[in-house]
Amino acid sequence: MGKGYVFTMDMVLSIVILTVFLISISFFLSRVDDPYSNVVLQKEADDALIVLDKYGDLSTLNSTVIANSLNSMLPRSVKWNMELNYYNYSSGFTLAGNNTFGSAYQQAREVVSVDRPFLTFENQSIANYCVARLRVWSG
Amino acid sequence: MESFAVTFSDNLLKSSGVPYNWNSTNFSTIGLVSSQNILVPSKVSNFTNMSYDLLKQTFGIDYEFYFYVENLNGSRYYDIGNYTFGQQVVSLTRLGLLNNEKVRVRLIVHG
Repeated sequence: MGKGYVFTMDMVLSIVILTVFLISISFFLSRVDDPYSNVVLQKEADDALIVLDKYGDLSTLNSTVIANSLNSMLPRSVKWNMELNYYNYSSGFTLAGNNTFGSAYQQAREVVSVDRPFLTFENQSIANYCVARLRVWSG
Repeated sequence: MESFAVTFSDNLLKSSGVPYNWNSTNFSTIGLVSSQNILVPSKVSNFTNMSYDLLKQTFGIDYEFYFYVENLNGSRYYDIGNYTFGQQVVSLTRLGLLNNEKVRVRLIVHG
């Protein structure tokens, strides 16, 4: 009876140690960066900015239009944050405004960022020189 | 396999091909766009109507692949390739404009 009890405790202890070991391995493997995912994320973000620009969504500077477009194009597993900075030019560039929208990225473990300059027009002349910065990450 | 999928999709979405008006019997490189990510219907049509084996040979592809273009609602406009997937599968989704409509360009490489 006593022997059986010791054997059982021994087995339970082994299982606990094995479980802790497997959880540790799993944790450390999950911390290893996946360069392929980052390349894919970068390609997706770059494509999204090009399409937003060439379709005309970016030049609206309208956060709802841009957000709807991004949500329809990017996979649901991808979170994003858009930062728009627009400048006037008069003997040098001066910041005329900015707008940031989308999900908060500060807590994301790894964020991929792509930039794209673009122009807005009014009455067939340049109204603003703009830079869009799209940050994406796996959510 | 992963890097091949990225490079292959980049070739298709970033280049016009040579000559610009290439077709299935006259080409030295194949690309599907007029400018970055702006798909040209005739180029996509030429590409998806080519022999799958010829494409694999042209691109020096050792894997199998399945390529398709769909709109954001999932309606498929063009496709080519082998969609009986093997054990290893890499799927890549790119974005573009086709006739001024936003589309997904999907490349699934498998083997």
